[in-house]
Amino acid sequence: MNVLLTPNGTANGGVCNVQVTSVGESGTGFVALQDKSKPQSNAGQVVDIRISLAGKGDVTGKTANDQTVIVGQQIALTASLPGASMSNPAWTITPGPAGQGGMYVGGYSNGKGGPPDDNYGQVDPLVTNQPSMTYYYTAANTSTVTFSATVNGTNYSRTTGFNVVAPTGTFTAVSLGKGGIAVAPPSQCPQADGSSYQCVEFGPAPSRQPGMNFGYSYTIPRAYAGSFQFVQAGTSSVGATDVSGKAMSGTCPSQALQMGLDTAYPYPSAGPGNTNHSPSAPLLVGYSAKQRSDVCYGCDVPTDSA
Amino acid sequence: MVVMFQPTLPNAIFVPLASVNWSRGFQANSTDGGKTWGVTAATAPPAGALSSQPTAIFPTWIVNLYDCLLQYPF
Repeated sequence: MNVLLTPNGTANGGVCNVQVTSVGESGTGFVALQDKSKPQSNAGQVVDIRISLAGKGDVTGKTANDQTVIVGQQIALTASLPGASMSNPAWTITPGPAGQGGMYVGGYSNGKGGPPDDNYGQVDPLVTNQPSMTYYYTAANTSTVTFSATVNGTNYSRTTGFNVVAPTGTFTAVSLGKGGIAVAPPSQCPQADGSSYQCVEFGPAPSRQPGMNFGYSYTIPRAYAGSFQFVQAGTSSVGATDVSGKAMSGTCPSQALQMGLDTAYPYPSAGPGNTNHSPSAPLLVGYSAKQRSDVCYGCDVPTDSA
Repeated sequence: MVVMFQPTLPNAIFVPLASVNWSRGFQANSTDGGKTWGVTAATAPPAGALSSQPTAIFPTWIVNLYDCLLQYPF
């Protein structure tokens, strides 16, 4: 701490300007330069806002060199100022939110307080205007978190930092290509209602190889453990024309810019670290044409068109 | 398809690590009222390996595609 006393020859009663600055710790936890015209302002009080991390305690002024966390870990921070009240609390995390070039989310849920399920999966918004904040990192990087608040009319801020680690490895996929899309016999096209139709399948007889194969190989950072899962979401469009010439069509989900879950959350594994996909669509008697398009998560890869 | 990771820690969540984007489509036609069919057009990722990309974008959904498609029984 540095204390600078600046005698002012024109001040009454021997008043001096007093400037106190912190050394060796980030933030602005000390009162600003006091004006002689407002000698009672803060009265030299130290505004010592502290940031605590659930499970760790005080992390005020820590940097990425001091504390390491892993992606997906819950980060629950609380700012406190014992004996005084704060207004306008605000948290800022850099880099910014995931999906906008950043690296955090407020949560991942079914929108009803539980984890994602077979019907709904969403990213939860992050609440940043309360003394406490809970969030999750999504990518390896360093991050700085700043808390600011107003105390007795003056704005103060404190920071803490994290080194975020993540599993490293590869995720691969192999496609059969358009040649793997063909008509399959009813015996290969079981329907949920027990009926039997021909179908178009991605990976039909005679090979019976799945149209798509996926596999991963990741190493989890030392000192951590965890699990992996597959998730597939996207959109499906279907159309048909019956023998009278009547055309019909539909899209799932019907809302633009939204996706649906492919059958189950998480997507079933075929074995340790791998899964596959052989989408099929029934071909019904009474129709003369059928179209189907399944667009997966993101889906901006070039396609092999017939 | 997205591969996701969850650390074994209290209250942790799954986060995306990498994704492979892909799609497929087809057109099938029948000249005998649906007794026999043939694929007349198809699209799919090129045969062979596809590249994945690291991602921080979560897969999200508002319906189950299987249930949703039941309303289009054709």
